[in-house]
This record gives sequence, C-alpha cells and structure tokens, in this order.
Amino acid sequence: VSTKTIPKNGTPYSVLVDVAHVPPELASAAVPVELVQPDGQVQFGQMKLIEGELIRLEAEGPGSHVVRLELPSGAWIVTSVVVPPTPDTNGQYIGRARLDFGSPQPSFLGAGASAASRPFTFADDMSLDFVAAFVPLLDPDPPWPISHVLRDRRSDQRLPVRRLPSADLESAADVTRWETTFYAFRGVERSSGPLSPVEMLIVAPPLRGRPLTIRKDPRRLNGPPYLASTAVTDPSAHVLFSYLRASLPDRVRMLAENMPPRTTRDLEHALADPIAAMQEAYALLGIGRDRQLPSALEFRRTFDLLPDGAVIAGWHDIRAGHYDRAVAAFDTALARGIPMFSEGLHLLSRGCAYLLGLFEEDQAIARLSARAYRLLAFANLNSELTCLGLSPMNLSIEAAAPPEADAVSSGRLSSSLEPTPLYARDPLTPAQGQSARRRLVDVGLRFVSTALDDDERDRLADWVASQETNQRRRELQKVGAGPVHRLAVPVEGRLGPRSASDQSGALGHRGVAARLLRY
Amino acid sequence: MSLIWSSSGINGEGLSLATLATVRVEAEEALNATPAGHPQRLERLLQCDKARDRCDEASRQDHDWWAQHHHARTHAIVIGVGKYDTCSSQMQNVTTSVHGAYAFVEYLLGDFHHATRPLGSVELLISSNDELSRWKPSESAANRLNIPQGTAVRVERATYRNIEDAFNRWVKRANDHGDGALFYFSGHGAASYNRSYVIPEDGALEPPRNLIELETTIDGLRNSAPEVLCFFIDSCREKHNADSDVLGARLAYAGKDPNRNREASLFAGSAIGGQAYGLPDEAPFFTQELIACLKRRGAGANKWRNLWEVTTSSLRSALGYAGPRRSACEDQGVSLAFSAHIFDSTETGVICHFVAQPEVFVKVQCEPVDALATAWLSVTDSAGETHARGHPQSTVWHTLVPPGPCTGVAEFDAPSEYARGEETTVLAPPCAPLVINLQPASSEVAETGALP
Repeated sequence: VSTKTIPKNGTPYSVLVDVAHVPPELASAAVPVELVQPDGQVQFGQMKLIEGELIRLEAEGPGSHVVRLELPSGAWIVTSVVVPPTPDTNGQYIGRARLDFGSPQPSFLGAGASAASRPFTFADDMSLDFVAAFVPLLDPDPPWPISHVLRDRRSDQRLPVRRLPSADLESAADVTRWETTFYAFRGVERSSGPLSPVEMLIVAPPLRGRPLTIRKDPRRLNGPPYLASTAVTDPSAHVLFSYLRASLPDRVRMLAENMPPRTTRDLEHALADPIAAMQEAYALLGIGRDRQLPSALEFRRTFDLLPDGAVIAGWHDIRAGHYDRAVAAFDTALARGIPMFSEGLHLLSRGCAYLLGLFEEDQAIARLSARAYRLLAFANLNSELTCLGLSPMNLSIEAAAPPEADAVSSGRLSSSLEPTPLYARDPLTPAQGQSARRRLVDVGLRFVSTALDDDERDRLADWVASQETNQRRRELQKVGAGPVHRLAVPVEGRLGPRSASDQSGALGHRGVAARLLRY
Repeated sequence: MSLIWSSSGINGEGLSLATLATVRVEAEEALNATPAGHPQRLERLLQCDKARDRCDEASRQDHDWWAQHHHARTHAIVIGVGKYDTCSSQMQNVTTSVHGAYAFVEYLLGDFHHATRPLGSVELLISSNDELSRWKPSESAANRLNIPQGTAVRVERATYRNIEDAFNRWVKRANDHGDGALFYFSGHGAASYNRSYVIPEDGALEPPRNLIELETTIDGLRNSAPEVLCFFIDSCREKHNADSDVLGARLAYAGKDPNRNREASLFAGSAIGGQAYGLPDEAPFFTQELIACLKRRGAGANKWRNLWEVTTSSLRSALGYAGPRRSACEDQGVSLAFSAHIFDSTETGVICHFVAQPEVFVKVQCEPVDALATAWLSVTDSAGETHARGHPQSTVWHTLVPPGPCTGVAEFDAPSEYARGEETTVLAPPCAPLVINLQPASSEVAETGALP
C-alpha cells in the first residue's frame, strides 16, 4: 500500500482515504475529492482511483468529517469519517475512510428515485439492444431514396444500412487509417408505445472490437432520441471530458492544474489512442488551457484525418486571434467529414458562426457556416459521439395544441400556469409516421437530385414513375428548381478528393463522404 | 431611456436617472396621446424634446465617465416582456415576466454584493400593460435610485431596437477586464435546431421577426472585456422548426483581437425544447430560485475571506437541486428543469458574494428506495432544528439545511417492513446527498407494531 499526501496546513490531523470497487471505466483516473470539515468548510484534493492506494487529506481538527467526490454523471460517492481527538500510538490523529463505488449513491440530477438503486454508471443506463429494439419497417425494403443511396453507393468503408448485427459493428472498423466511420441505422423503435420510425447516423471511431453503445436518451433536446458512446479507452481523459460536458469546469480546472503540458511527442504517442487525445484536448480547450496542448499546427498535422483534430486546431487559432488559419482549419474539418464527438460538432458550428460574424461578406465562410449548422441542426448534443437524426421525426413534426378555453378568455394560456403553445412531442401515430415518411421521400428526392449523377437520376425517375402517382412525378420534375433552405441528409460514399466544381457541398476525402443537401 | 442607475453618479440637472427615464416616457406618451392640431400639441412636443435632451445628455455623460474611469464593476441589463404586439405576432401576453424583471432589479439594487466589483449600472426595459409598467420600487431600491418612496418608475419598452441600443451601452460600460456583466431576460423564447432565441415585444415566431439569438450573441462577446458574463433567461425554449435555418440575429459581433479569458454562462429556466413556469402575478419560478441562490443558496464550497462566493459552477449545481425542490413544493404537476450551459470557462467566475449563513440543498433518500413511499423523513440541522417532510412520497426529498453536521431520520408507521433509520453527515454548500440506509424490521415489530 502506498500513501500519498496532499499537503495543506501542516496540521497533525488527517484522513486517510482509499477506494473500493472502482468500475473499469474509472480505474486509475484522477478525480477531485473533497473533505468536508465539521463546520461545513471544504478542502479539495485530488486522487487517483487505484484500489489499495491511500491518500492523506489534512484536516483542520478533530471531529466528524465527510469525504466525498462528485462524478461527472452527477452521482456522489460519500463516506463519513471521524478524526479522533486523541493521538494514536504513533502520535498521529488519523481517521480512515473508504470511498466505495459498489454502494448505491443518489443520482445528482436524476429525477427518479429508482436511478439510485442501480449500480454505478456514467449516465442513466437505459441500455438498448438496438438489434432487438430496431426492427425493419413493415415494408422490409422501402424504396426510400436515402437508403437507396446508402445501399448502392458504398465506399471503401462499410456502411450498414439495415439491421446491424453486433458482429458487423466490430468488423466495420478500419484500424489502418484514422478516419471516422459512419453507421446508419434505420428501423422502427418498438421499445414503448406505438411504432416509431427511427433513422439516424452515428459517427464513430474505427476501432476494431470497440463496441458502439446506443442508449435511449430521456433528456433529448434535439436530434434523435438516442445516445451513442464508445468504450472508455483512457479513464483519465474520459473523466476530464465528462466533467466538461457536465458543465463542471471547476473540476476540470482542478485536474488540469496537475497535468504537465503536452508535447509533440505526446501527440505522436496519442496516435495510438486518438479518442483519449481528442477528449483531453476538448477538455483543456474548454477551460482555456489550450496552451497546455501542442501548437495548432502540430495538432492539425498529427490528426490529419480526424475532423475533431482540425476543429480543435481551429479553436486554438481563434483564441490566439489567427482567424485566417481558423477558417482553413474548419474548412479542413468539414472536408474530413463529421466530427466524431458532438462536442466537436458544436464547436465547429460555433466557430464558423463566430468567424462569419467577423467576416460577414466572406461567402466562403458563409457556406462553411451553413454547412456546419446543417449538421448541428439534426444532432443530439447530449450524445457523446455525434448522432444525427435522419428520422422523419426530426422533420418539423409538430402540432400546435389549441390553447385552453380559459386562456383564450383571460388572455393567458392557463389559469394557473404560464405559458405557452405546446408542440406534440409524442411518438408518431402510424398515420403521422406515414405522412412524415412521405415528406422524407420528398426531401430525399431533392437530395438525390444533387447527389446522383444523370444515370442514377434516371433510374430514380423510372422508379418514381413506376411506384408513385402523378403527383410524385410532378415532385420529381420540380427537383432542383425549388428554394434552398435547410437539412442535412448525409451519407454518400464516394472515393477521391473533393471536386472544386462540386457546388453541393461534398465532404469527401478518400473515405466516406457526407453530402449536404441544399433543400 | 433604460439606464435607471449608475454608480457614476451622473444625473440630469439634479434629477436621478430613474426620474429622467420616467419623465421621458410619460412625456412621449402624452405627446402620442395628443392628436395633431390639438392646442396642447406644441407644448407637449416641447416637453418631450426637453425630456429626451436631458436623457441623452445624461446618457452621454455617463458613457464618457465610464470611458475615463476604470473601476471593476458589475453591470446589468434587465428585460421583462409581458406585452406583445399580439395583432401581428400572435404571441400571448404574460404577466410573470414583468414581475420577474422587477424582482431581479430589486435584488440587484438591494441585495447584490461583490467585494471587488460592486454594482456599476442597471438598464431596465419593460413591455407591459399600463398598470404593470409603473414600477414602484421597494424602500431600499427607491433609496438607491434616489427617488421618493412610492414613486412609480417608467422605462423604455423592450422592443428589438431598444434592447439592441441598451445592450450596446451595457457592453461599452463593462469595458474593463475584471468587470462583470449580467443579462436577464424574461418573456417568450423559442429554440430551433440547437439554438435558442428570446422574443422582444415586437418579435414574432410566425414568421420569424426580431428574434435575438443567444448562442451567437454570447460568442460575439468573446473578445469584449467582462471577465464574468452571465445570461439569465427565464423563458420557454420550445422547439420551433421554422422553414429558415437562422431565425434571429445576434446582438454582438466580436472584434478581431485575440479572445479574452472569461467565464461565459447561460442559465435558463427551461431546457431546449422545454417550458418555463410561474404563477400569475408573481415572478416566474426560475427567477425566484435564481435570486434565492444568488442570495443564500448558491454558495460555493469555499469562502473568500468571510464572504461566501457564488460562482457559475456552484450556481449551476444549486439550480440543479432547486428545480426538483420547487417542483415538489408547488405540487402543480410540472417538472421544473433549469439548465446551465458554460460557454467558456477560462476563469473561475465569481458572480457575487454574500455574508449570511448559506443554505445547503440536501437530497434525502432511503436505501432501498422503495422505502421512500412509506418513510416519514426528517432532517435535524446543527442548530437542533428539525425539518420534516409533510408526508411520505415515493420520490426523493429535496430540502434546505444550514451547513455543518446534520442527521437524517426515516421513520415508519407500524407495522412496517423497515426499522427506523438514521444517518449523520456533514453538509457543505451548495448541495449534498444524504442516503439513509435501512434495515428490515424485526419480525415481531413488523407483525405487531410493538417495539421490542
């Protein structure tokens, strides 16, 4: 057993703390720990979650103390300890405490009491077996143009578009190049209520054998109602990143205090685990410690194929006032595809919007910003990995509920509670789903018009003519002529560099290309 | 004129800023109510011109003063929109928002305290019906505003143009690094595709008009001076998927200097896609809880000298508990979900200080959790005072207790599956969990209800 001391005031009173039942996701991670004095004052320290290792926290005096740590999920691990008023045989006043991760702890922000009865997890663990939860639509192979594109236009990366057996998840990865992988899911969710069509795209690191976890998101704000994450590769980086995502920057700052600056050599080493490198970089960027990172140029060069690396480099440049370099970095990021982490997607859109505010007349930045925003618009930012909704549920399915009668007469919306208009957010009924699906087809048609070459367009036209009504034919004739508004409809596989003449926003770079729709 | 108080001490020919603003608004209203050709039209026109001139002159002097004097201060802009242009926007009027704005201004003028950057200025914009637009400050606020108690204060309406002008003055005033800048808005809001908007009096959603986009506005202040920048938004942020990508406009555009170190946060009474709530003719719930946290409940764990610090992180933690606690207190069947988003955190952001004994949010629950449904919960604080939950409920209990030692007790009506449980801990602000581990009751107790 080794003991580390966190010096404070040099008092003779102290608490020795160790940990037990540390989950693998946290093993050896550094976390901030608090010693609450009897008067409610708090002393902060830091410890590594290594079982058998003791740390010493110095106390102000004897009495009942509490040792606690707040996890990124908001869960607390708490234990009480008494520092004796009399010395032991060695003349020391030592209390002993154990932070036991195996005991249930209350979830910090979780609404339900039942959450606390579950074993420790990083977040609400409504694990969803997507193989079971996603079943094909009644029509096993609906001729949606989007899936048509997904199915027929494969690239050197595999693009599973139907039910995805878990074995495919593992084999779809390509570990020879650090390019992100896209997973497209399509199906019907049957986990609760009426069947709901779900179609989404997840950007994931191509790590063989690293399972992709998809969970239901009870707090969905935007995008698809799922959270995607991958296995933790470096607990310390993951904890750092999770504290940032949980809006606890003070915790990140405490941990970063003791981190040595990263060098170029560290970056090269990080190539073995770019996930951890990106997580650490996002966390340091978030608290303005990007000076602890190697230069933006080195960062960009090292993670050349990862959009996330370019995004981080771009923000590095923004903070330093090198705006032209930042524009180039974000351009590179979009050329590489879609950032792996939704944090990166958020930063990409914010960064582009920021630059557009500086250079309002610059059409190139305006296009860059619009493309980034189209991606952001359909993302669930609660998800760790980028998770974009392609489902009809995301296409403006909303119904204004009529105001209550007394609200109309009184001029308020409710006799007791204010305000406001309601939009239906319940799962779609079959009729709504059908209607929404038809709208998706419309969208898809427009997408296809910009994404496909002439032969493919003709094939699609033939298909429409054979399948659909005269109205559909008219729709097809309108393709490309309508106003350009919004919506990213992603994936298309295309090899080769991005064409300069391509005005539709192709994002290809050797691997999977995502094409944005100007619909 | 929306500037009602400034520590510059500038006034207009002996009249306080609040009085100048009131005179101007009333003069403008009198002029608007006088038709062309009316015998008093000319006189009112002259009065209106004079009131405007005095306001403009005071505003200019204040601007010059802040440009020349570099003291770290906290500058605030407070906006309450209760009345909307219902003919063209179809937005419903609300009353809570105006009460919320007044409550926040009262807090600023009466209770806000920061040891190194005290209150510097307050801009107030209100859109409301006639009665509610006349704000009668409390005694302490009236004294601070240098107006007789009972005097009604009138300010500019919260139209897009007026908000933009006040916002620009606010940013210019907070021109020192070390300054704090607080933005409060209460009224209607919306969200579209991961972006949030607030709606001024002359704003509308259908079609989008005069909406203020928050995220880009906050990013637009990246290289402006304030060290701590907080946006408090008490509005719904229901999803509105409009036909256009970008619904609104930003109020701030960054310059090309390198970014400043700063702490920029947005605290909202609703999550994106969610609703904010309040009772009629009161400040909305979020505003009430926000003020309570700034006054006593949002302290961080550590003191600075003898002062408790409310930081952006501690406020975020406290509001995380305040929402569920208030939901349970109101018992209206609504679930309040306040949200916080930290945009930049390159500095530790201290919003304010207070001296009083803080209150700590405690989340009390039993293990196993099923016992909550029948448990009579109580907490005894360090002073020996006992706080009891009214009746057993199946949800966790959020309550407020002073820091220090505290004992939680769970008791059960006999016969019960569980024996009485007790747990002692030490509480530190802003919040703490308290889990009472329970043991099964002995068979004799469970069957007869008699203690052995």
